[in-house]
Amino acid sequence: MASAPNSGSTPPKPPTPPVMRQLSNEPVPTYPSRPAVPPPAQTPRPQPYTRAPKPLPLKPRRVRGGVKISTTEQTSLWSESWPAQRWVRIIEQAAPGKRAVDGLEYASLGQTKTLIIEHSSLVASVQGRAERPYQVKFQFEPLSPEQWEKVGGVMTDQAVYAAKLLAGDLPANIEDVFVPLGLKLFPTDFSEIVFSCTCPDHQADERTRNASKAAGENPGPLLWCKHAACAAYLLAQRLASDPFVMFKLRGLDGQELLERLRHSRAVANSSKTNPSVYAGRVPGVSDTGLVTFEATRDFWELNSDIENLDAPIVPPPVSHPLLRRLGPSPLTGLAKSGGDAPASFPLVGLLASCYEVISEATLREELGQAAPGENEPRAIDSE
Amino acid sequence: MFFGSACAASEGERLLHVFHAAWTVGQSAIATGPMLHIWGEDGAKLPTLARAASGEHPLALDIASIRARLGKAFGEDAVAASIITLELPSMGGSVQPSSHLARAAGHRAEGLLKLETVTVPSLAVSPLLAPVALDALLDDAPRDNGIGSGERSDLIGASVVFFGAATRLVRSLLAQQRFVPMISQHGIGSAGDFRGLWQPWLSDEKTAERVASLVHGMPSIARAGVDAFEHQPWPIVEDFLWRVLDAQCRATLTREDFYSSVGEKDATTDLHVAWLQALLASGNSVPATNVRGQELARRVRQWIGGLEERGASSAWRLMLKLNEPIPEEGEDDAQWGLTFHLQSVDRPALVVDAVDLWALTGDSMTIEGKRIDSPQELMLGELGRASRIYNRLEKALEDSEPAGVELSTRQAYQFLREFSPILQEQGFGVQTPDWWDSPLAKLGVRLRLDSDSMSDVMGQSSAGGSTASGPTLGMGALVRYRWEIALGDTTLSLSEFEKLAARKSPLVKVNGRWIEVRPEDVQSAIKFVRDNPGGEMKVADALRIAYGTDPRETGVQITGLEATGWVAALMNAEAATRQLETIKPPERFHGTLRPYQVRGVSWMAFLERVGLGLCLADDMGLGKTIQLLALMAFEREQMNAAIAKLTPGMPRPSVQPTLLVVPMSVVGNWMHETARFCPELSVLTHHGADRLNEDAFVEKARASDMVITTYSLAHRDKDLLAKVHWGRLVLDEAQYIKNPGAKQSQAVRSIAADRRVALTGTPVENRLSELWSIMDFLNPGYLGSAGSFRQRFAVGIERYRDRAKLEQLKGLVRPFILRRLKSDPTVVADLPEKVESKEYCPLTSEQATLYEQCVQRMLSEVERSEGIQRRGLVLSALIKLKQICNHPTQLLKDWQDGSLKPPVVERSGKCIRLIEMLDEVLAEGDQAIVFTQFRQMGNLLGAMLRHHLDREVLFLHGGTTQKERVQIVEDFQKADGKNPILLISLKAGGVGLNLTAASHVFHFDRWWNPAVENQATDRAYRIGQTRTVQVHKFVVRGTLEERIDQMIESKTELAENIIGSGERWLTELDTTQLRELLALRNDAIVDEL
Repeated sequence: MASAPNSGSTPPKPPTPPVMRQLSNEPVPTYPSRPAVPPPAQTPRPQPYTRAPKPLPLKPRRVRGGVKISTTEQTSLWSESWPAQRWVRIIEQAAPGKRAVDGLEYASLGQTKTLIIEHSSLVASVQGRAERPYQVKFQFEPLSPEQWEKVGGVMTDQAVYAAKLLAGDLPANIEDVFVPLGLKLFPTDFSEIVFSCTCPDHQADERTRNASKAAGENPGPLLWCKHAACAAYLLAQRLASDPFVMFKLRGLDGQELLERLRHSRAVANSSKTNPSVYAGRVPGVSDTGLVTFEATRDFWELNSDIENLDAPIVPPPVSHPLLRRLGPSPLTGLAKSGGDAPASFPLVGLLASCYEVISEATLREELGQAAPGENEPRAIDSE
Repeated sequence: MFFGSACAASEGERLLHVFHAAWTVGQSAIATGPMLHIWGEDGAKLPTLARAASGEHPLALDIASIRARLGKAFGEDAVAASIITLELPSMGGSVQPSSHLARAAGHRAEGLLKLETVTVPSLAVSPLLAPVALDALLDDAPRDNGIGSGERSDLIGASVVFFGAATRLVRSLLAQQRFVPMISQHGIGSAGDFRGLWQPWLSDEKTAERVASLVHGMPSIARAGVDAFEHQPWPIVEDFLWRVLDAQCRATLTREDFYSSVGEKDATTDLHVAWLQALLASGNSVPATNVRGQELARRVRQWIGGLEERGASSAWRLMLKLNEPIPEEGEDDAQWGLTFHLQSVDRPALVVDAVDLWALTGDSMTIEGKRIDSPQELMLGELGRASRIYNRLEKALEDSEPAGVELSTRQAYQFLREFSPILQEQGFGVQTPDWWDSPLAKLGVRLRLDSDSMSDVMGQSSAGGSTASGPTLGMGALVRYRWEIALGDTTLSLSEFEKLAARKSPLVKVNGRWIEVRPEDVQSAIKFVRDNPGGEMKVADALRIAYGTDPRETGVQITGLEATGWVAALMNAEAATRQLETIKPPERFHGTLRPYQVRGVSWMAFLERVGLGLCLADDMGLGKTIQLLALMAFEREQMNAAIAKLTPGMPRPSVQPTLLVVPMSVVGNWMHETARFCPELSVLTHHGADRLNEDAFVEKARASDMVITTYSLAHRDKDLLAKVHWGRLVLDEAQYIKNPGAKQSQAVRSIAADRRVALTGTPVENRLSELWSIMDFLNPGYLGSAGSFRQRFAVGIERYRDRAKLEQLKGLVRPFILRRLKSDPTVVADLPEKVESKEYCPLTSEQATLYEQCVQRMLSEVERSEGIQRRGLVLSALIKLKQICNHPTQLLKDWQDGSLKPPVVERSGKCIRLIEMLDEVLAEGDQAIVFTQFRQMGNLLGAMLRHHLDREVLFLHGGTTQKERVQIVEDFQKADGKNPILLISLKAGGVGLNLTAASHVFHFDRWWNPAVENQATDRAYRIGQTRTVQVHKFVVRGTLEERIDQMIESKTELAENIIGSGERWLTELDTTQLRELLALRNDAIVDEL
């Protein structure tokens, strides 16, 4: 879709420069960069927090064919895609310091076995040092179908959204669609995302938080663990390449959005948001004021060159031009009331032949192409 | 050109009817809704005007006469009689006649006081028949006027012309398919309240302009009906256009039986069927459906409303520009770029490229002071809108920053041919390469002719004398021809073209230029050239084929003619005058020819040499007479040169006599001019009761160089004239044969002659029946029969202003008509600022009799008297003679100012000539001042001129108040065509007036004092005058007018005397001298009819 030569040129500048994060200099093992085909969804298994943790290796266990981002990819991703940048800022808030660094390292090592983005949630299975991968889940707040209807309406009013989305870009001012409706596409704070992970770090975080809650203290935000950060970086990668990811996380499938846009654009094109009903106005004529009627000297006279009114009797440059401008029948989908009528009536075709016949008859009769006397009551000079 | 005109010639008891039309609601048995009502005024009722009963129009024409005028399609069973109510101008409670009727009676339309409501009987013509009725009125309408022109006695009012123009607009909309199917609601929405209708689409720019000119040009009389329209132009025009167009659409669809396609279907279940039944049937009611009629109406109206959709911005619009492929590419794989731009609607030159738009960071931009808000969205929105019409744009929309699309040659052609007109209509800008739609970049066939070189042709003239058309020349001359395929200005052979066509590309590049080759034209062009391999054809056929062929007949566009040799010089008279080698002005011609006149004579000599009839149609005053006389002198000189070279014993060639047919009014002029410029030519004037007869005539005519006769004698003595072999037949004032069926026209056409020449000062190309008649006289059969000419050209040009047809016709006649205007730069340079000429007018027999009686009575009385009494007798006789020369009525006082008919023009030779000349002045769009010494004569002239020219005529005289005088001068100086003629009867000739709007000055009678006349002339010939002023001094030949004129011209002592003392010197003459001076001379031209 994005194969047109102009796609991928610079989008509007992001509000702040991207934060570049570089991993340690240790060599990164290379794996096939093809994203793993996600296995069937796994439900995260609850891990009883009472069990004492086993001693873990210092390095995470290798994952074959895991989902990963290369370092070079990161640089370009972060600097070129504003949705990725915006998401990365959320990550940096939610997983400060080492958590983010580790998460990014996990992401570039390909520790993620599966990454599934579905209706309003992201579920990832990230292999840490433990034997079994941890299950990370982000739950976003979906928009209701009514809210999507409104969003869709606004987007089709302004062709640029549709055009850019169709072209594979998420328009930089996309939030302008949501904000006036009291909605948002991107979360502005990580606390808006309900997050969970089966890893011990997260369990510990939760315990600490619950404890301080019980103590009546402000528990502070629940920070993301490195596994969450890893999954989140992979989401950034997705955001950079697919403009529909965030829509999906808000509960609307990309294909569904496209359909919706196509449909409403078609509707917008066939009748504008402010449909003009024909009023029979003639510019410069029907809006003139009252004309006096008086017994003037030139009452009986022709005061203009009306006699030579230039009104050529010629065929149109293109046949039935008005019909072509009108497009498909206005009665599509409306005509039938009983079950017997044909599904589609050739209205436009029939009108087209009406036009041709009327035009030809006029040309023939008026310009003397017809045999004298044919259809013509007027006398023909027979000299 | 006048839309209406007075009847003419022998006024007699002829009835005068004026026809009018109104689009209004009448009271009749059948009428519902507005219809076209035809009504009329009856000139015969003018005398009863004063005692008319109120309420009814006192001049109303009876229904039977209206039916009779409209023809058999408007019988009692077809069209109903009706009564309509009108508001018309009235004075003192009495409805006034229309200005047409008033002028026909010679009246000046007086100030109109108020409106009066009257009823008038009318024929109520349905919207279906309205165009036919208007055609019937307009087609036969007299389109010009003048003496002896019309057999018709009816006039067409401005309202008929107006609705005729509106009908033309309807036909134009129908032909161009500018109407839409519509539905309208009557009532509150239950089933059956809906009507289907075909509605004119008037919103497009060009159509709106046409409608606007109709609405703004609507004459009051066309909206005089008392009805719900309340005299407002737009509602009337709108209603007329809607109803007439709908009726015409239905008539065609019914005839073609479109209804059967939906008639059987059930309208209650399918809204399509319901709507279509109301569109395709003769009735318009949407059959009972169900409650969804509302929904149908809403959808249809919204659908049609889409035509008016004009995008988001009214200031900027999408502009699509088609760029030619770069030259290196081949045609087949060429990539055309269609690039996107935003274009300012007000300033189309202001264009922003899409590429630049996408580089923008802000959400608005300003270019040359014009701001565009959200330009990127505007561009995309516009592209989205345009993609609905041109769906290839949808592909571009998938690009986030679309700047253009690439098109193959075929797609580029499709864009140009099919989509660009529609896109433009929908309000988008489209920029196509400049060769597109240029006539130079089209496929056609060209006729190539080869003929003998000019020098070969002209060389024969010196060798062969005047033996005129040899077998190789003339309309019947054969020329070699072949057909060539022309692509723009490039000519291809058949095989080259076939190779090109095999590529099947609709756009081809020939010699670096792209040319449209419509696939459908390719085969017909190949077939045409194959079927017409070439050979020899007649010159006339070649011209007809090159200019007069309808592409629908040949299947291929004929793009013109290319010729070598003399045929090339023939193609265009105007161009020929510049290219032809000019003749050496003949020595025997006693005068100096202006350069353009030498060119004119050279052209005439050329056309005569190649055996073609010619028409010299120069503007009045450019010297057509002189050019013809010079041609005759040239001819003699050539002859003499040829004779000188002959050795004794060889047959001596001779110049056959020229027969000159002229109106009575200019016989004297010709005699005078011939005597002056070519005194060596022997001239026989065949005219008058004592004209030669039978053998005497034949003998004398054969010995003469020129025989002058009149149109009426050409008819009466046609058998006599046929006995002479004429070398040349010349018609002066050739518009006299404008009516091809008239006896005079038939008579002159039947006279055999080697060569034919027509002289006329009227723009013949605009008067089609006149053009045909003159051309058929010059080159019989060239334009086909009158009937086929009418069918082929006249209807299209006169009724529909078909410009293509007009151009075609002009191409056909261009070789034979030389018309130069005073304003032509090449002519202007040769013309002095003031040209004076005398018009030698004849007397009518009535005038001659009165004149003789007056002279005899005076002479016998002066014999018996002396002193003051004698002086008084002489002076009063002098005045009487002048009056007789002007018009017998001036002496006899047998006409009352305010009479219902003007004085009879045909009783005065001067008046006939004046009207002939003014007719030409008006036809040229010029204005004129006419001076007369007599206020009474001013009144007579005013009435006659109004009647015959159907224009207002201004009159300044001693009784005119200062205020009126200012108004009159202002009206005249406006030069708006409404008051082109100003009569002046002032002692001092109106000294102090500035009348530079006139370029012609007529001295109808004479002061016999050049100083006084010059002062009068100088009203027009003064600072501010930019054109040549032509001064025409009228002199009645053979009378005291001519004698005194000669005396003044002689510049003798007597002349001084005459000028110094006014007319007193006359009283000093003795009886013999008086007789000598006043008696009618035998060279007077007397119209004996």
